Amino acid sequence: MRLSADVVIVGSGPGGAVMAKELSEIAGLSIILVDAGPYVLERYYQQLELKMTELFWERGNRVTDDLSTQILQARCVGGGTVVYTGTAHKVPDFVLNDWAGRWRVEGFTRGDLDAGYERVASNMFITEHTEEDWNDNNRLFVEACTGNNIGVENLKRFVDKCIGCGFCYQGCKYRRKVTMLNTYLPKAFANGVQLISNFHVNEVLYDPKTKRASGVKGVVKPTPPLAERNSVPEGSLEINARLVVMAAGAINTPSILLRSKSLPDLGAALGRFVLMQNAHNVHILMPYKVSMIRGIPKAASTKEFLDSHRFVIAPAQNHPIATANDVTGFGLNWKHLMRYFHNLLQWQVICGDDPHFTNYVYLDSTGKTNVRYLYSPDYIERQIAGLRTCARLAFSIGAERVFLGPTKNGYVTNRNMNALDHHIHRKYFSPGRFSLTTAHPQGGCRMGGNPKHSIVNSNGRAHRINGLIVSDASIFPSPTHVNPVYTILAATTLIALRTKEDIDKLLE
Amino acid sequence: MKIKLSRRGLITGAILGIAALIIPKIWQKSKSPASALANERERPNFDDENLIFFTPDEYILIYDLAEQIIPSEGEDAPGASDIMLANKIDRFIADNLEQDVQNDIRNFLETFAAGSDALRGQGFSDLTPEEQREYILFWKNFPSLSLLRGAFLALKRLIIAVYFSTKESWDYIDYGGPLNVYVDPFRGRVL
Ligand SMILES: Cc1cc2nc3c(=O)[nH]c(=O)nc-3n(C[C@H](O)[C@H](O)[C@H](O)COP(=O)(O)OP(=O)(O)OC[C@H]3O[C@@H](n4cnc5c(N)ncnc54)[C@H](O)[C@@H]3O)c2cc1C
Ligand code: SF4
Repeated sequence: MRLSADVVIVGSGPGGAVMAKELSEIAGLSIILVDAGPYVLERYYQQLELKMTELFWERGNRVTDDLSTQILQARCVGGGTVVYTGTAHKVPDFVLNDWAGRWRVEGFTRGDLDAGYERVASNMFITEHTEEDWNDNNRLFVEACTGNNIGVENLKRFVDKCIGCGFCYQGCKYRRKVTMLNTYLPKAFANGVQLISNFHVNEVLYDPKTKRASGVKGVVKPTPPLAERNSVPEGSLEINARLVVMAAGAINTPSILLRSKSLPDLGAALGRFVLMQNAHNVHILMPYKVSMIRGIPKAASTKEFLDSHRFVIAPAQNHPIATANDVTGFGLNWKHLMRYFHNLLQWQVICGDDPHFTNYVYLDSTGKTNVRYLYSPDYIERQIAGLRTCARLAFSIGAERVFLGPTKNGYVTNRNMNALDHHIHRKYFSPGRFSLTTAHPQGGCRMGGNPKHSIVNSNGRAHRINGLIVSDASIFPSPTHVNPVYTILAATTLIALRTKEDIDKLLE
Repeated sequence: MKIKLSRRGLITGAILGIAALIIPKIWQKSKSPASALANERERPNFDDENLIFFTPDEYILIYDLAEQIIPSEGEDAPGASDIMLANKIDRFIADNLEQDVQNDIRNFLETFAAGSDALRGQGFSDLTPEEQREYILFWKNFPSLSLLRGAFLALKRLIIAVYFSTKESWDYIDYGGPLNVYVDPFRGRVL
């Protein structure tokens, strides 16, 4: 089957949804928005951990090629916002300075981004949580921080009257989470954007005569049960368009571009400088029962270490499967520990790695997407510092044991309290020994002023060919160091507005 | 010998060969004296025809491995064998995982079994429970090839995921599962 439109947008997560809505305001512009995942409405979410992995790439099992790091990315209409907790942080100044200074990114000053954040806030509802919203997990986190003279702040989330059911990672059945499904996408659809779901784009097409990207090609897969009906039949599909917007996310956007054999060379940086920003889960065993899986998942956080060590600590919320994976061990002792599931608190250290050319997305011999990744020594030191801080905080409020990965046995007990630097150590930070998870991958198609080191300019436009724009987390030249979604929304808003301004020229 | 580092090519013949070369040396260093008693544990009679993904040998291996990871202790503390976890894993893999992931699992099981054969001249399922436990610990801390540690971790993740999707395991840890109720928007939060 063959379709055509003025613009085709690949990916309906934050980057793609913003583009679709903003461009749909241009009268007479035809837009097709496609996504590899199903379009599942909130009422069908099932609050089942394993079942809902259907909304993730490789059912949540996408991993780096040394199997050390699990990369969580959504594969559904709405992208990561369907399964996120909605944490809304603005990017710190030092990141923007790095983008402008080291990577010659123009037009992303604090003022520019603030305009982007403002426009996003007018389309999405943000709640600032207060003390009233604390469950035990949040309350004890705040107590630990304040008891140790560490500043905490109220956390802002993209939610509206969150009832604290605790199932954010499985999608919000109650529509309290503000996602692309209930904000940008309905506006885009109302303006005439056509959605094609379950469409797995394999490559971007190129017209050598006009020297432009000219569309996309791929396969429409069957619609799974409970998902909305598709607007096209199953089978191969080619969409011809005058402008191709790639918004398939970090990892997937570079992977599709690498697979697009008819495209000319987009630059040596394609697929390179992939960034892992890990949310390292810390489970804390308390001597009494606590509420962790019910209540507001995150209502406070500390950014005290952001400038010095570039990590953030905040409470989080895991159900049994994710918890059991982080509580290391096996056999009877481990099983008995799981019986204390309701004695566990969960906090997270969020920490991003620096950009390195040697960390990259590639296609293996079978054509599948792979990621090769080696953590920088600096990252490991900072991550370890974050984990030690977490353990100190936990023991200061009476924790018995803290499960956190890079230790001899995967945990430290209160007997180790005075020698945490010895027990939580980089010598234990070896791949495959414990679970590392990133839900915030970035980079791989980075923006910058120098075409040798980047793929797109600050307007998201490819340096080397016309008709190709990238609008997602893959354009970030270094990590946001805080939860990225607000910044992805703001940055892609800027790209969308700049595209809007130049639309006639871009379609020529 | 060229090691293919891609995940899909992970447990290829090449890496299998390397593993088979390395395992005996490290195992000899790491193992403690284990019981030489024959393993006479009971396993369920299962019907080959009911298996969807696993071969009978793979099934027995997963059955034992899952039981080591999540042992039985009686009715209110169900372990893997009490709830026929191996069958549930069989169905889950067949129904939900893509072909290349299925291949990875199959290849890893082959490597895991080959290691035991190479070391002991016995399959994993013929080892005593203590020897099995030691062998698992050895994989968990596999000293030189992080890929193999990672592959083992991934398999363990799968076993745990299927276990903690069962009602029996939820009762064991007193987890309520889905709220599965319509929450009145005006009734406030679930705390
Ligand atoms: C469990 C989880 C929790 C998170 N919580 C938070 C949080 O609280 N706060 C925060 O700031 N961030 C959070 N994040 C991160 C955030 O969701 C992502 O950074 C963000 O969604 C990335 O936006 P994106 O547009 O770049 O890509 P995505 O949101 O990943 O969207 C890309 C879309 O493209 C589609 N696609 C990919 N490949 C193809 C293809 N070949 N063909 C067609 N379509 C394709 C995908 O299906 C997907 O829908 C979380 C992420 C996860 C997974
Ligand atoms: S915790 Fe709040 S936002 Fe998350 S799924 Fe429940 S109601 Fe929705």
